[in-house]
Amino acid sequence: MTRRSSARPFPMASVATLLGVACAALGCGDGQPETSRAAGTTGGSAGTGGSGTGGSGTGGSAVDGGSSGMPAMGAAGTRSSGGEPPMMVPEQAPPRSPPGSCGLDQPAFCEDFETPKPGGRSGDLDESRFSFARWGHETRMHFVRIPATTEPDTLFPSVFCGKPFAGLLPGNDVAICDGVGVDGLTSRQLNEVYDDQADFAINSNRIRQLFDFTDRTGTIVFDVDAKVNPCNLGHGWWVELWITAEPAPIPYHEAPGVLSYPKNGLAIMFQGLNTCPQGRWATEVNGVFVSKDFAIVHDVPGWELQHDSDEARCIKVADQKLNRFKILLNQNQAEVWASDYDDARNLHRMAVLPDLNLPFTRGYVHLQHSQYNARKDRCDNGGVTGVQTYRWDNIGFDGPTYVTPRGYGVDDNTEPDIDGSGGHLYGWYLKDNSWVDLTVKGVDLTDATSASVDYSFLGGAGRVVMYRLNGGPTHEYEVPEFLDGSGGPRGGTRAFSHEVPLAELVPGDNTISFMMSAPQTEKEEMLGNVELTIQPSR
Amino acid sequence: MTPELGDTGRARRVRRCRHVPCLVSLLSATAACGSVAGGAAADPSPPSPSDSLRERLVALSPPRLPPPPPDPTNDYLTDPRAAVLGKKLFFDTRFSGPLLDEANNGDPATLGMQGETGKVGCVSCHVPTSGFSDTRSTRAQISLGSGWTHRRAKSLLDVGQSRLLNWDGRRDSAFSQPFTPLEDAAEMNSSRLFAAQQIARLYRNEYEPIFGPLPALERYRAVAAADAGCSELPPNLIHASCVKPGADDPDVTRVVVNMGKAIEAFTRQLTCGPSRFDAWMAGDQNALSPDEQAGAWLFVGKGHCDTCHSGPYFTDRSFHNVGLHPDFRFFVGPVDDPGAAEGLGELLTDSLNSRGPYSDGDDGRLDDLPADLTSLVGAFSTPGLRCVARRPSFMHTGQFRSLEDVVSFFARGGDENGFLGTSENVPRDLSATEKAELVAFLRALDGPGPDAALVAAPELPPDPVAE
Repeated sequence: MTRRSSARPFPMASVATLLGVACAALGCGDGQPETSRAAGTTGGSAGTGGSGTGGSGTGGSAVDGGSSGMPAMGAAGTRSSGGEPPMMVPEQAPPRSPPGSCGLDQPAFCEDFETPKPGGRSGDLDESRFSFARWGHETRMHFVRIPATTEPDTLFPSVFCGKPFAGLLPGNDVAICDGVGVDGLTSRQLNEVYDDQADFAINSNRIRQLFDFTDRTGTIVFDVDAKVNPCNLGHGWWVELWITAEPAPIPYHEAPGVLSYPKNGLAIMFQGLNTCPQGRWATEVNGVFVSKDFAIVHDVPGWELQHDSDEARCIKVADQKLNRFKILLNQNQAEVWASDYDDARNLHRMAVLPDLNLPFTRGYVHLQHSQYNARKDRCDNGGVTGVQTYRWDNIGFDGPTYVTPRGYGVDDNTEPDIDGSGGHLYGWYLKDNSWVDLTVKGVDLTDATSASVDYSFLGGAGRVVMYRLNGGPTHEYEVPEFLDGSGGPRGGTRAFSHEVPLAELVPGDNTISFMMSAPQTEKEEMLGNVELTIQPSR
Repeated sequence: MTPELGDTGRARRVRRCRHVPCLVSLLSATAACGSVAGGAAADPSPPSPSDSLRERLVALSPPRLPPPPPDPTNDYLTDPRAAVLGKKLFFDTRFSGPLLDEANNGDPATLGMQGETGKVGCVSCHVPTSGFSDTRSTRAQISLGSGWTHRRAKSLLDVGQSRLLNWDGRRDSAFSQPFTPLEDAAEMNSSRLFAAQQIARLYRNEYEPIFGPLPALERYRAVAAADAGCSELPPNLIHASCVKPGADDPDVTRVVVNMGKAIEAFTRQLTCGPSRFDAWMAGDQNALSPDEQAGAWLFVGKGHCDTCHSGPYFTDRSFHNVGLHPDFRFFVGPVDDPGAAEGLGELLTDSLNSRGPYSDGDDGRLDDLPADLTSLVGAFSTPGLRCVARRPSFMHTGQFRSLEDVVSFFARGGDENGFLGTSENVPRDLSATEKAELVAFLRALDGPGPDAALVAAPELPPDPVAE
């Protein structure tokens, strides 16, 4: 979010408010601020009587001026609700925060994406700070991504780094480029995109550094254009925040092909079912999960959370327009605060998540882009695109600062065109009679205190994964059941992390080998997103 | 805290309320069952509160769990050949048409790939090793058959106790129940003609000794499995199907009716069995932990759970609107489900009901349904609670994933809005400890389950074409 140019100031709020008046009178549909409209003419706010930007009745915290304005847990603001005429307000200065603070008074971690670090499987993302993982699927083919291409003939076609795109595959699907931040100024942000391939798909970005909320209320912040499919009838795209006790990749709730509960975790999902008073271009907290020992112990839909008002539970969203999020979390309760896309100065409380009783107090923060077969939903006589981009910025949290673990990702498989139409296999098939050897390069064991092998695994409960390091002793892990242990063997992609003995590692290149127990009856037992994580003492 | 036993007279009065004559009053009043029992005119001196609670516990645990009551609609219930055939039909997936939803992607949690046939059977969503509930479908919520269904597949343990079946009471006879999944485009996506033809191909030798000669189905063109049901999913409907040849043919229908009668002969053997709660009620002081005992008293006390979850199987066999905002966030999108108001309405006009020509007897089970079904908008059947902890999810939508979430839902009196009809639910003043005790009690209702022989998959007849 560091200012890199003196782009125009941020008149959007007032323009949007004015257009909101116009739309309310003229009926601009659902208030979608079409990205194809001319720059500076963001669409209306659906005439909901928005809060304006003058601070009246917002009850939220400002994000500017370096004052984090942290809302105290439980200090509910009350947001002015609909029914009032839209206010015409004067322009105001954009919100600002010191570079590198992510709007936090005392950040323990902050990433503003000003410095691309190209290379590796994560594109421009700095893999020393983040672990990036993908889930993609085609019929009978897992860990597959097809090229992502703008679909101009669909509703809500996406852009990547602000432009139409074609043929993006893993490695090129994550990029840091210029865009307008929540402060209205041009800065660099993280763009990531994929084609959902008519199924579930996920991009998951985990902060390697540990977030600790032991005996305190911690704060997590991030900016993202938190849009959802305006035609959502059960399909579309959305973002999620997960916090997990282990560094396993891609925590996710159940879906066909993805049964990737974290062993212990908390999820906050930002979705919507077109129930927000702000219209179809609005996002809410539509679900909260808590998992404990691979079982979901709380699955709470958004309407059962506590809200200050019907309007406050939602935020207005738009493609390529960032919302600011702030999550307050302790072991038993969380609050979600966020801003409308056109009013980044003011955050309001979207939801209170009570009675969490989390089975952990330190964990890893994952920011996820999820989709489910968006092309399946239609509206306004049009089909919806299955390719979406999210833009992320200013990701941070407060609390104790821990030494960042060193992560070493295994290069993805690069078998091209596996499906005859450009599909790219990035995972690995496992056998029951031979090892699959994967290499991590340049491992630094200096001051190492522990190590883990982290990966996404596809296979059924009860199956045994065997793994070894550098040809050393074989370790076995029986894939655990989930839920209440009531089910038979079921398969899907799971999120695993195994601590491994440091003595089995060597400085420099290491080989991690995997094999399945015999007999192997399922053709597709696979893994991907494989990493070696080293925790140093300093 | 073991309740005193032996007051069987009072227990009988309470049990009387469980039967169909109590249905109408139950439909319209939250505390109807308790009111009817407590207001029994034969006892002019109401029991003290403690006596009342003890009596209500006794009603939940008779000395011997009653077996399934007689079912005059089915003359083949006690025919062991029918039970053997019914088990095979239960496990056989070759009666189903094509998988329609794209979510069928071949993953282990699905039944196959979109377009494949012969993948869905009763066993697919009533998994025998999981208490005959669906632990296969992802999210363990709604079932994924040919498509996403809109209601959770119920456990079949103790199904023989039920007269009004399905969450909405759409069926009142076990023999007619298979028509729902068979012809539902989101479940088996098939048709009765295809099923009858499959019986002729695969099961003639077992069918005819029980039910007599099969009709001359040769007058119909042989239906391919790919054409058995719909070719695409109807939009967002509950139990939507596509009209296929043979749907109005009594001979064809009779074959599927007999399939249902055979399946009932099998499924009425599926029981949960006695629990530790029953042992405690029989005098074993150590059968329940202190928390579980406290939960038992709460169940009949300030939890008021036995208002609806009454009787030895913890169900009043009735329908209630508990104010549940249905959760279809992820896979199927929003749907308005009128529940029993629609299901019972369709039942009354269905030729497959217990009064109809395919029933072997009418015991008057439909006589006490209310004339005005609008009071049942958004109402769904009360599930029994024995072996409840085996279920992967709860409520007709399957949206609660833990008993803790279920108890919390009822403690707060349900949702404020987002559901059809009028909620009967009321808040209960339960502390966190009390909610945990209720959950502990519910977990103590587990039983041994059905015999292993009933759970084991049978050998199915080979497909003549494949031979």
